[in-house]
Amino acid sequence: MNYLFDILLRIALYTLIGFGANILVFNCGFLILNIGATVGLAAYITAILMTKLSIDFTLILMISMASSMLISFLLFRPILNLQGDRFSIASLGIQMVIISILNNLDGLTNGAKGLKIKTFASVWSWNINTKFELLPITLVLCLATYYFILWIQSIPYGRALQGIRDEVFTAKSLGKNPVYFNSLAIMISAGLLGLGGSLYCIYSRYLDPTAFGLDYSIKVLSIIILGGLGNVKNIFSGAIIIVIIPELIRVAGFSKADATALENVLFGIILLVILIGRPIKLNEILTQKQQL
Amino acid sequence: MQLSLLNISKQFDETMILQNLSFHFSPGTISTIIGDNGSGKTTLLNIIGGYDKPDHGTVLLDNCDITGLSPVKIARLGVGRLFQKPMLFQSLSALNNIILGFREQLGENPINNLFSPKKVKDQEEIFRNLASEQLREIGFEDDQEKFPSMLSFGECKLIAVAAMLVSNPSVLLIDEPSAGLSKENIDKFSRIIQGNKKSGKTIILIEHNLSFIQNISDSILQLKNGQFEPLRVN
Repeated sequence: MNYLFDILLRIALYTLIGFGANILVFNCGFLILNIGATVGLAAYITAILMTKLSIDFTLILMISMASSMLISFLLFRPILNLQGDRFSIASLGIQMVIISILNNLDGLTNGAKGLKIKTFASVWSWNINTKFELLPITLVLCLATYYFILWIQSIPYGRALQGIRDEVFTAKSLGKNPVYFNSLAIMISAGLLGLGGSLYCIYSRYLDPTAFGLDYSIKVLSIIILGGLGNVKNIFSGAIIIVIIPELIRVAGFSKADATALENVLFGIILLVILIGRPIKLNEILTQKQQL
Repeated sequence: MQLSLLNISKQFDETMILQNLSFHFSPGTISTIIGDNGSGKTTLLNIIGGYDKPDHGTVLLDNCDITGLSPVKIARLGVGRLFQKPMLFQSLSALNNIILGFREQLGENPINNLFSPKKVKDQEEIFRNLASEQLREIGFEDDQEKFPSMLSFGECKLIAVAAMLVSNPSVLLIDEPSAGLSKENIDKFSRIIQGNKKSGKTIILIEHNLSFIQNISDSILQLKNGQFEPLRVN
């Protein structure tokens, strides 16, 4: 039963993180590669706060999300004027810098040895000791995030964001400031990725910087693409595929090394089939961005 | 608003595109710039609109120096720009393309949507009605929810001009309005431009279609060797 809860939790966490990244990938048209680092940073902030302060987890969650939003805003602000592949490479730079800091800030993060979280999160004096107890909280937050994303897309802010993504020159000529709209989107996305990171922290109870590397970012991007870019509901299906495939391979009895290799090959094939079979908006979005 | 160019120069590599170019564009007039390909017409509009910076010289909008300001700031000061190709927002309907043209939208700040949803909704309703009216004026009775990919080139161009006009800019920079348009749409465009001239806007066109130019222009300026050679100035 615990195994089932674990799988459900991972699906919910990946879905939530997929929702957060989707704002930048779909609504802004940014191919960001620092998803892992943003999630990792929030997870570490949560872990450090839980270790050092005995305060309610809701407060820790809010501090982690706010820190994630602020740090992302400060890191992205100088690169917001970059377009297309340049922006993606700059976000890769941000990913590498954050992971490197997490790896080397031994005093706080315990570096490459990893950080074990010994205390339990407590929400309004209720201790979250098991995955079963974490599951409803994660599901509720995941659902709330889903409705939040739909709400963002439905308000005039979401419309302007879409316009800027489609035609940045026209948007500028109509007096829409892409820096304002995109900065806000980056903060919203970072807040949601931070939420995912905090929940991951109490799910995993052990943090290691390598867990939030580039492959993590690619995995989340794959979830968005697998779900059909722009379709918020289908991010859930993408997350199921990403979580279930490795489990099926493991059940089939492959050795750990073979299972990892097979998992990567399968993901690669699925992505290729989807991208070739449905030359969806990602291509259009990236081409448009590069033309500007 | 009066738009003045003072000694504008612009060089690309070794080629001098604009050379100490000066001119005053008055409110309530239509000035058309003609010239060979590569003579610097679009570069000049880009400099006025903030998409390019001059090497030397000043652009004054009612005696306020706007040289080198960002396109967003210049647009907010009342300079509207229409590009040669109608670059509409492909994922938005014709109606939403126009609504996006309105300035100071409360709903563009998510906080307002949270704390003053009523005000946002009311403003959105007003914008929706105004945009719908604007679309009807240019002949879109039933196609308001259509996406740009479902519309013809000429229809897209009319929507682009309507989106520019809803914010009521004082200066209009229009790049080749008649290119790719049917006779019917050229007439519509001509009526829109002349209507805006009557309301006192400063209109600068780049155009190749001579019959279109002669019908509507107050001044025709030929851009040659980086300078204006007035062919007709009223």
